[in-house]
Amino acid sequence: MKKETILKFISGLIAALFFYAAFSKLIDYDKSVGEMRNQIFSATIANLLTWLIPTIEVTLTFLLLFPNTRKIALWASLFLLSAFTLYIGVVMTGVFGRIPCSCGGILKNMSYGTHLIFNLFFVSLAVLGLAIENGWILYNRLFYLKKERSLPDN
Amino acid sequence: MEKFKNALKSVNKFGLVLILAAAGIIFSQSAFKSKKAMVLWGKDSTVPSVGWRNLTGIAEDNGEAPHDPNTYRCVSNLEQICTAEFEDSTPPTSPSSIPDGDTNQGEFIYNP
Repeated sequence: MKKETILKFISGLIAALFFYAAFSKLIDYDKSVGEMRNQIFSATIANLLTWLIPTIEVTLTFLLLFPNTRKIALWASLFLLSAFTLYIGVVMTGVFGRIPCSCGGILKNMSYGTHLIFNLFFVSLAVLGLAIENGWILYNRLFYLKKERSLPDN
Repeated sequence: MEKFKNALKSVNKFGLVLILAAAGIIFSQSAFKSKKAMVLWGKDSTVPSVGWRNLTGIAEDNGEAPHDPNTYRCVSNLEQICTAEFEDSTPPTSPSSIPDGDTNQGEFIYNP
């Protein structure tokens, strides 16, 4: 499989996740406000995050779709997904005295454990995408090794 | 203009297909979602052991004392939640509970 094809697959999956997350919030904005107020933040921060998070997610959706902006979008996605994952991890420890709902579309049916695994999967995808984009992993070497093995022995 | 056209041509088509699929999921979820019945709760901060109080059948009486028995007051104060609606059969203390957007804020006082 070509490097570009894998990168398109990874960035497409993350873009679809952000699109789903953003528009499932925007389509029922009142409910999203309630869901955010159910979290551990103060009302002021909750009100800010209710529109700030979907705005960032929609922006990243677009940036991930174009090759010129893909690299920076993958970095931003990694940062955002890591922040979400860290939040879930901290909430799961019960340090805030209560565990708020894991709201948001189909994700609200998941337990926090499943949600954490789901997020870690997408964090891994972002890391893999960046690794391929920046040439951190031996993608080409693996590819050539495979080619060498297929050569006939003389 | 040519640059813009080239950028449009280079768009990740696989990503677009996935986004269309995500849009389909969002649409199907919102189109077939049934509106659940809501129950009004008051957040009794004056009696911490009570916490949330189910206000079904309890009227609001914000008038002057003496207050009618078995009523509640919601003194205007934007710092805390007074009443909020939650989905029926899900108590506010459940982690899955989500107050609706029209949360009434103020200090909750129950008139026994």
